[in-house]
Amino acid sequence: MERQTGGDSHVSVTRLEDQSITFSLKGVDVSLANALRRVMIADVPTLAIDLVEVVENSSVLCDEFLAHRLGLIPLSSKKVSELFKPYEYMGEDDSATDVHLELNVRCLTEQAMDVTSEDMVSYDERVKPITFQGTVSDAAKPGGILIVKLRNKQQLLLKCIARKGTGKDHAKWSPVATAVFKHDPVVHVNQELLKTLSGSDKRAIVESDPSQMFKYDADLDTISLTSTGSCTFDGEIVKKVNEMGKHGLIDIRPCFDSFTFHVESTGVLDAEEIVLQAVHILQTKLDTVGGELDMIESENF
Amino acid sequence: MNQPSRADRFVLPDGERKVTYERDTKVENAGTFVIQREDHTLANLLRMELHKNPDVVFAGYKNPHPTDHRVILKVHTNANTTPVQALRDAVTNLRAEVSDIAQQFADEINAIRRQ
Repeated sequence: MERQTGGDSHVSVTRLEDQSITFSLKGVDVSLANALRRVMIADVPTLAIDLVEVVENSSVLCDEFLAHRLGLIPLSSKKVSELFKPYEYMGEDDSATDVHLELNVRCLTEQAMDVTSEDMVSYDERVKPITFQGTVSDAAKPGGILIVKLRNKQQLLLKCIARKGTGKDHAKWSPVATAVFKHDPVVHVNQELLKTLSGSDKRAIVESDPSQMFKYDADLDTISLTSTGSCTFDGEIVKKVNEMGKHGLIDIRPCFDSFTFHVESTGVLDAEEIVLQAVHILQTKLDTVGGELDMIESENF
Repeated sequence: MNQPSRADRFVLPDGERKVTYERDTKVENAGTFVIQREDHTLANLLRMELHKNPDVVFAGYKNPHPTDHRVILKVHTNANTTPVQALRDAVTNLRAEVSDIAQQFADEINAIRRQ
């Protein structure tokens, strides 16, 4: 029996933006797709504030509360490959693991003052808090991330140390806001059975689908598949067809070796960079096991 | 504090091997791999790849406890191969597949960038 090896897989990127990517992965097992997803969430290293020294805090939030909020602020992590994780590095040079940031604000006005991530001063220009850049809509105002509000004469002086880490340690290090994949649908339409339906029935079928995968063509009196990308496998259209007594007219099933990935970055790394790094991390994991197996083989046989 | 170190989860303790293998004492061509500091990400991937091998009779894994940062992979093969060889083949195949994906993905990104 022929063993399946690499070469069957196919990758194609359907949409690429700075902070998000959609791509399809075909011809691989679910376990590989899931491994890739898990690595993106938990194993791609980024930077986040890990230690906070509180010199002065007269705000209404307690020190721990502030430290936690600071940790969750996304920091641009392009520099991360040049740094070491604290537990990996045995040397004396702190700059190999730490990036210092400072938050020093005092409210001098009668009105309450917003302290945001934009008030943070970084000692490394490549590491700075990510600010909202998306399209300006309703409530989302461009600007920094709100940390705390200060009243008159309240003051904050915090010294922060950002470090390299992974999502496995704490979710603040996870570079992704979304990392999901779904099975691509395989759609079968029984054309013979379709011919037995009236135009209004066909239209009703098309309209019964919340994900709007089909379109009714009045000229040809037929329904056609427009896009499968929106498919949610909700079964609504099949339910409708069954109500009409036309069992088996439309069949939608998940394809077990074809996936659509959607990855959104928190802004710390470019979306495609996250996927690329995840694939390399997976390679490293496999190489480590491969190397260990060499040693086991040489010892036992 | 009665709390394990945070780094425990991913740092291999001194003197500990990443992968150990123990042959089954009763069954021929069966054995147990213990992979330290790995989780479902890798173990499930290896298990499913082992299932593709017709010479593998059984392959299964478990993570004994959420705070026990290792996975136990049990493999039983027929006489055509050994568990070590089967896992070796699985790793080689996966490595080729992942490299292929990495290459294709990088090419796709470069193609989009050039436009």
